[in-house]
Parts: sequence; C-alpha cells; structure tokens
Amino acid sequence: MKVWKQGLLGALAWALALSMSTAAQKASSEKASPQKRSPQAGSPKAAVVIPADLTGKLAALGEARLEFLRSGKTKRYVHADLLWDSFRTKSIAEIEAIVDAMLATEEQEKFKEGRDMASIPLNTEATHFNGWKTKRPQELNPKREPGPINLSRYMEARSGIPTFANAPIALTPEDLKAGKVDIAIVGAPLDMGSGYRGAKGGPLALRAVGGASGNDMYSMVNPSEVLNIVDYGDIAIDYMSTERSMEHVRSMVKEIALTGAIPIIIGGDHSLMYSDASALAEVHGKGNVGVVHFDAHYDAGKDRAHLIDHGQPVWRLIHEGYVPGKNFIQVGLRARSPDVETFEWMREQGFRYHTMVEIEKRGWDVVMNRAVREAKEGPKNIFISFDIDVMDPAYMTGTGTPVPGGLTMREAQPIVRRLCAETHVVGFEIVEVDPLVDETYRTALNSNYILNACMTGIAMRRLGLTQEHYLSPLSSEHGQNNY
Amino acid sequence: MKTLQRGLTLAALACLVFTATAQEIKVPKKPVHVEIPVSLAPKLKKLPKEKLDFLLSDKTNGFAARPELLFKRFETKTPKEIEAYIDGMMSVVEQSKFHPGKDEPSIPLNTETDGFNGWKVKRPTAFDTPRSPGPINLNRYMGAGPKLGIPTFFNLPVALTPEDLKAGKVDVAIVGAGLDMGSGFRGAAYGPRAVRTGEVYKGQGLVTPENMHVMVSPFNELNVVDYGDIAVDQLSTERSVDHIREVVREIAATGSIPMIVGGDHSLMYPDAAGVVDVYGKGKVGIVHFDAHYDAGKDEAHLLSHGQPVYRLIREQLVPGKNFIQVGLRGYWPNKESFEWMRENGFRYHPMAEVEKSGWDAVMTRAVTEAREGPEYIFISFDIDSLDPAFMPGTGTPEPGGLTMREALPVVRRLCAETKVVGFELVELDPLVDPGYTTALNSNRILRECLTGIAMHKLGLTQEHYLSPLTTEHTQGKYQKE
Repeated sequence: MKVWKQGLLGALAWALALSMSTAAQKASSEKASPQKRSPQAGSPKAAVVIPADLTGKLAALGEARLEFLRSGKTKRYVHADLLWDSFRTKSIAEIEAIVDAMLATEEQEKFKEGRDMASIPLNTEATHFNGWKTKRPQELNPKREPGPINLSRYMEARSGIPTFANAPIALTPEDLKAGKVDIAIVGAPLDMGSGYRGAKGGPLALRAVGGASGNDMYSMVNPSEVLNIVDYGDIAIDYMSTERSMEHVRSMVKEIALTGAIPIIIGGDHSLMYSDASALAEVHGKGNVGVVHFDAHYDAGKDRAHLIDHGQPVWRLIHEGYVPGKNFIQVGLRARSPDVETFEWMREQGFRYHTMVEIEKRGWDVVMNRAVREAKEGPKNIFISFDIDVMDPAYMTGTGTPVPGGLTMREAQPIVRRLCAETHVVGFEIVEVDPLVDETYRTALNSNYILNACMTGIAMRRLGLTQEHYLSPLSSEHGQNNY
Repeated sequence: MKTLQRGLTLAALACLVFTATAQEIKVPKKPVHVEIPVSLAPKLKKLPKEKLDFLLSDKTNGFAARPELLFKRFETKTPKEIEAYIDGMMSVVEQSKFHPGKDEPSIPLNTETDGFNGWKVKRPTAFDTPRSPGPINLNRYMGAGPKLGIPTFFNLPVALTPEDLKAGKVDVAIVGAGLDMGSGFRGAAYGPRAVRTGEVYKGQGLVTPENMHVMVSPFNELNVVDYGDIAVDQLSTERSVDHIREVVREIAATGSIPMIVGGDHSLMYPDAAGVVDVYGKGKVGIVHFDAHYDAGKDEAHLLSHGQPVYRLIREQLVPGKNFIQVGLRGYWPNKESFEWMRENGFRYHPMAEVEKSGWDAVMTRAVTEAREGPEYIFISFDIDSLDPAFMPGTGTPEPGGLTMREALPVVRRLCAETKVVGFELVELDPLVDPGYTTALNSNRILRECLTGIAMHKLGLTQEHYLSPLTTEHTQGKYQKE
C-alpha cells in the first residue's frame, strides 16, 4: 500500500501547500480564507424557515431530518416553496421517504474512505513516466547559433511551414534572448476540460489559417514591423491529466517571461489560465498581476472532485494567493452561472465584473471605457485571458461551450487593442478554440484577428501611442472636406 | 511491476470489486547484440564504461530504430561530440523516469468536496411517481417513425433498473457510455447521442422490417431496450471504469446481453470485466475488431484507449489465448509485440492476412476459431477497423480497412453462430463525422449483431446462413460459368 500512501501524502502535501498559501494571503490582507468565505455556486447561504402551518406536521420527522430541511440544501432538488406545497398533501411516511432519499443522496455523493479512490493511481514503474515532457537535448541536433529560425523559403512568408503569425520559430530561452524577442507565441494543446473537446487542435488551427499578421488599419501599425515576434512551438501536455500538465505549462510560460519576452499562449482549454497567470505571478510577484478576463463564464468554480478543469482556474489563482479577487476584471459573462450567492461572493472579493447585462443596460462604449480605465488603475502588470466564447457563437462557432448573445468582433477588437496599448501587458492567452466543431475557418480566423489586435496594441505602446482610444487620423478620415 | 500491482490492488480494494493478483506476462527479453563497427571503435576508446554500456544496451531504441543507424550518425562526429550525444540520450532516459519526491505518483483529488461522487450517484426512486418495473415505452404514437419523439436507441422502450430488465424479460439492453479521454480526436463522448439521434435507420421501434440477408427482424424476435447511459467522470477514465463495470455486470447478471455504445476503447476493460464477473474468469473469449492492437502497457497512465487488452490479461480476466483480433494495420504494434502476442496465444488477423488470403478465408477462419473457443463470446467492435471511407467520424482513423460488405457478414455470423454475451461498439465521434456516414454505419453494425442474436434464438446457427428467398429469384436456372 506504499503507493497509496504516497498518493495520500502527495495529496496531503498539496493540501498543506494550499493552506499555507491561504495563510500567507490571510496575513497579507484583511480578507479571510476564500475557502471559508466562498459558498459553492448553487449552495445556499441562509437557512430556510419551515412554514408555520407545516411545523406541527413535520415535527414527527425528528431533529436530524428537520435540520436538513432547514439547512436549505434541498434547494438543489426542488424550489423550497414547491417542496412545502408537496409536503402539505403528502403523508408523513411519504415525506420521510423523500427526505431520507435526499439525505442518502448527499451521503453517497461525499468521498468515503475505503470505498472511493482518494487519488488517481499512476504507473510509476513506466519507463516513460515523464516521457511526454522530456525535452530533446540540443546535442542531438545539428549545431546552430542561438536565435530565431526563419522557416520561410521566400521573402514573403506566404507558403511553407505554418507558424503563428508567419513568424520565425524559437525553441529555447537562449533563442529568445539572442533574438531580442518581444513576443513569443506558444501553443498549449490541452483539452480535458469538459464541453465539446477538441481545443487541443487550437494551436494547429491558428497556425494553419491566416489573419494573425499584417498591418492594423485602425492604428496603421504593423506589429511584425515594430516587434520581434516568434512562434515558440507547443508546450507538452499529458493528454490524460490536466493536473499533471499544469506544472510543466507554468514552467514554460515562466521560462519565456524571464527572458523579458511577452508570452502569448494559444490554447487549449481555459484550465490554462491557472498555469499561465500563476507563472506570470511568480515572475512579477504574487498580487502584482491583474487579470482582464474575457469570458461567457465566470470560471471560479470550486468544491469539485477534480482540483482543476476549465471552470475553476480563477478560484485556484485566488486560493493559492497568485491573483487576489480584486485584481480580476471580467468582461462578457452571460452563462447560466454564477448564481446570486456567487455574484455576492465575487463582489466581496472585489471582482470588477462586466456582464452582458451591464452592456444591455449601458451600451458597449461605456462598459469598454470603464473596464479599460479600471485596468489602468489596477496593478502595473496586466495579463489578458481571452476565452473565445466571450464572443457570440456567430463569430466563434468552434468552441466547447458556446453561449449566444456575446460580443461582436467590432466590440472585441477595439478593447483588446486598447488594453494592449494603454496598459502594461505582460501576457496574453487565447483559449477554447476547437477546430473540430468549426465548420468553416471562421473561428480560427477571428481568433487570429484577436491575436493581431493584441500584438498591434503592444506595438502601439512601443511607439508611444498610449492615449485613450487612439485611432489613426489617416484611416479614420478621408480629409477631402470637413466632417 | 510492483507499483502497478499495488495501484491496481488499491483500486480494486477501494471500490470493493475484485482484487487483481498480478500475473507475470511473458515479455520476450532477448539478449541485446550490439556490434560497434570497426571504423568507429577508435573514436569510442576513451568513452567511460557506463556510456559504452549504454550504447551497447537496448536503451538507444527510442533514438534510432537500429544501432547501425545511430552509428552512421557518429561517423562524421568527433569523439567529444559523440560523448555529448550519448550524454544527451542518457539524460533523456533518466528524465523520462519517475522520480519520487519530484514527480507525483498519483493525481490528487479534492476529497473534501461534497460532490465527490456526484457524477455517479443515482436518482432515488422515492423522487419519482411509483411505477411497476418493466420497460417504459416513450412513443406517443403507434407508428414510431425515425424522426419522431424522444430519441432512444432504435426508438426502443427505455429501462432504468435491473428490475425493469427482469420484468420485461429483456434479451438485449443497449447502453451508452460517453467516455472520451483516450487520445486521438476527442468527441466519442457524443457517440451514444449520435446513434440515438441519427434519423436514418433509427428504426420504427418494436415493429421493424426484416434484415434482407436472412429475413429476420431482431426487434420482432427479441426484447431489446435502451438502458440509458452509464455515468462517466469526464475527467478520469480511471475513476469511471469501476462504475461502468458495475452497470455492465448489473445488466449481464439479469441474463440480458449488454450492448455498449461508446465512448472510446478504454471501455473494453470495464465492459469485458463486467461480463467476466458474471460468466467467470477465463470463460469469456473476445473477438476484437480494430485497426490497433490495444495491448499497450508501460505507460504512465494505467488505462487509456490503447491499453484495455493488456489490462484484461494482466488482471487474469481474459487470457491472451482467448483473444481473436481482426483488422490490425498501420504502424503498430512492432515486431516484439507481435511476438509477445504469439507467445500469449493471440489469434490475430491483420489486414496483411486479408491481403494474402482474401476476406472470405479470413472471416471463415476467425468465426471457426470463435466457435472453438470458450463458450461465451464478447465482441469488441472498434469502428476504426473499417476504412475511414465508411467511418470518417472516429478518433484514430487508419486507411486500408474493412468495407461494410465485409464487416456486416462477420458481425452477423459471430452473433448468430456463437453464444454472444456482450457487444460493444466504440470510438464513434460525431464531431468529426461531417455527414451522417459514421453514425449510419455504426447503427447498421449494431443492428447486424442484433439480427445475429435473433437468429441464434431462432436456431439459425448453421455456417453462414443466408435467406433462400432473397438470395435467389428462382425464375430460371442460376447462370453458372
């Protein structure tokens, strides 16, 4: 049972690390441990009061059952009012059977030692246990000087080996340093988070379709002319475990950021936000990175059996003290979750959320200005996490969890360009591109345009074009007469 | 393999299923003969012994298919460069291993969550209106057309509990298992949905015309139900398999034949294990249709869609000699694994044999072998055994496969001529099925087996029975050459 113990020890060590980071956070801020403060989405905060006309009838249930009814945990089975209504017409024996069934369900859902595996065993005897992430030694390759490698045969890199934004490639941190690289675009083909799977094809799709390179007409800036951009290849993934993949992704993103280059990660599913943002927090300091998070979903789920998936990265970043709640700016939320209690929790944590509800109320321009201004006020370093499902499925069909009623390209491009120009962006990720359900090239194309909008912004910043919502006077006006 | 054994024992213990005592599988360990070319010897003279030993071992396999190819690379290198190259290889081998302390030996889970088992907790019957056990017919109308109503497998009635199966004297229970963590294009989680919702050939429900080849209608002869889907932990194959095994066992224990619609091929492990739990270890033979041999091992993950065969053998549920494999092709397995399969008694029929002897001979041989084998047969049908022209919607398509005109008869014959106690159809991925082709053909494979089971029940078990009515118009003499 040694392995089992090791597994348990591993889990314990992990839990300890979690509680330590929580403690550290507690010490540094007034806020209590988020684990204690944050209710699970859907779980009620307030107890439920049993209606007066039923208290007599239900007394026969006994204290344990009554306590359960008062806890409000019944909400996930049926709305409380409807439950009371049904109890009014049922016999006490029938009511008892229903409450017992709920209690039995609650009990079965919990972890039970001896019955349930506390962790997923791995074959530690496997010769290639770490084979998935073992790097190719440079000695096995022909000798070359460090620096970006240009793969195009012709001056105009229109054909040949597909790379992100038609950029040259780089393989090592030495290449990034030697090439004075400003932006390293790297793929992270991870797609275990649920929804339609296929996001591991995202990096391939963006390399294969155009739209990422070239002049931006809004600013008349061509990022490729201003910045040194490379394709940094893909980061290795254990396709059977998000958990095992996270640490390696984090180390690779860190490796890029430490050279001074800005990592742009192409996913892959949104679990990546955890590895990507935590890597940057490790480089720039915990709490020193703000995250502008575009998404239809809030992604701060927790209290699930699996410690990471594409719905939990925000919570894990908060919980481990990498990014406090107040450093999150969220744009585009509109899915079925979060519920009332979770929105309240987000407010308490200091989230600045901008739902599609706010946009319906105020209009896009107002919300965009507000979000950009907040990012400028926030911590100096900004990481942008762009889940393509923030967009309406009309623009991004190829994604795992599409939600109607989202942003248009004409709304998304300006805010991404502005954030990258007007704030100090230290990292950017585009996640959830799933070519398997992209019936046309549309999702990949639009994603590449989002990528270009950010690189344009970074180039504008380099050129000093950081004023509020800069647009080129040349392209925004024909100048033949007065407007 | 001690860790593996412990890990498995733990899994078995923790879930109160059957403990697996590890069996030593014969893996041919051949003495390695690496000869250093005379021309290269002087360059290697100063090489430290451990590096020379490494060069003479089989550990360089992952870097060059044969030692000669590696030595050829060394021809133009200096002794110093050669040593650096060997260091590089040695560090790769070292890094690839598990390192206690540095690497996690298992994937941690959050045991504190109230919803730890939420994915597989069943709905208590107390929540529902009381009903007597038995299949539930969901059709509003008498004529259940393929485009009408709540989609179920072949428009069949639904059963939810073993009591329903018993009360309905159910012969075959079709059940979905939407598991798609095994690699390749993912999307097989939606396989069951594709089979249920495919308009074409979804069927008319209980009254369905005969299969023209044999003039038998499965739904007229058998009680078949849609048993719903089996819950899956979408983030862990390992956590899912015990529950799948339990549900398959639950079906088989009632006397019904479980017919599982996947989901990826990891399912072969819990599906066959669930059937073996009922019929006995070693008593079930598996006819395994696949482009791939699926007996991979020595991988960090103990189960994926490439390893179920090995795990069934390893846990002594199905010995190697009980496997009949049909349709293997492509670039895997390698020579050593083929030799290992021979030593373990596999009866494999790759497409190479089909190319050599022709399909009819191979089909007859495989069916004969299945009749000779253990009394009970489980058929594991990976749709990638078919050519991608017929099954584009699958995770790991492999050109040069079977045609539908080859697959239908062998499936029908096996289900008619042997005692089939379980059937699975796996790797159907509607996300990469641009037309209806894959769903349609998968549907037909399932129906063909159901037809065979109906024939078996009717006693039509003679070799390759075909209907005299439909094979001959009798309006004149058959034109013979």
